[in-house]
Amino acid sequence: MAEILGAFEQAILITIFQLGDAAYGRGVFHELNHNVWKKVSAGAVYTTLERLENRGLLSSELKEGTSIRAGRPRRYYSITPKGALALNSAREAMTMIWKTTKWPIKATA
Amino acid sequence: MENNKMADQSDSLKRHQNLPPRWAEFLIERMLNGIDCQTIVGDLREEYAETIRPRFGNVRAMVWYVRQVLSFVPHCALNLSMSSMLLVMVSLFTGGCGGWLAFMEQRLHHSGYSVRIGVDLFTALASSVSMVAVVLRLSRIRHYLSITALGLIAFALRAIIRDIHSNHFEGFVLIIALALMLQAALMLVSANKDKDKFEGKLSS
Repeated sequence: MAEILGAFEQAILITIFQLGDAAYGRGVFHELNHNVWKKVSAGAVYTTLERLENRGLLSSELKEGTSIRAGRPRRYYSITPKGALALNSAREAMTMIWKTTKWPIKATA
Repeated sequence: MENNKMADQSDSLKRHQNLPPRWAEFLIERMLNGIDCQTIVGDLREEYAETIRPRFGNVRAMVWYVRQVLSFVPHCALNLSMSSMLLVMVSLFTGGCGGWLAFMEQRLHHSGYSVRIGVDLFTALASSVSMVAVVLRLSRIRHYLSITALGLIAFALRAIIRDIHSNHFEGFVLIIALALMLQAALMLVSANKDKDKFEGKLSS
């Protein structure tokens, strides 16, 4: 069975997929902050990246950084087969749920 | 030649002006203290210099950076050892009590209040510094931790003895004094743990 993903975790995985070879920490953080969520904190992004990597949904490697980083390396992320499976399952589940639900939802209280 | 030198200096100055405040980078480096610390600090530096500062200016960019530093506090707290976490919690309690007692002494003006305010403020200050030392893993001030811990034990013992012999036994004094003793014990443990690490590093 595939891992269950939260909305923020899905957003991070999709962003990494979209960024492709440019998916390092700052790229993901920048993309989420400017195009998806707005005002996402670095703490939330890096903690989630670490968690996803610990769960085996992401893999990472260190590469050389630019001069502005003063020699600090960049960590590039990529989605593992387990991560792709989890993301696809999350998408399928959501599509199934929405297919049988009339949209937009109205309050029932 | 002279022009090149001046251009280099100007580039270096521009780059330096574009960087986040050094103290904020120091804070985040101390808080993270792990393998990924360098990559995260580098990422934030890049984002600050290339996006945030040019777009928002100095002050707002600094506020942005401090917000990012603060966003790592929960992560840092979760990675503390049990004894460090306990020390932070006890320090919060004793620091708050010290501040509250100083405030009350100032309002009530009982005889000898100025000395007691000094003791209360010392307690609050010692608690704050211990918390910062633990959260930022400042092993260099372990001597301070040991000396202050001994001072806190002396204050706590004196307070307990005076409370027991006083006509009006006050429970809150006993509770605060016991909390101070616990804080002092944890500070001594923390200082020795840092000392072991420091000596281990030297011998390796």
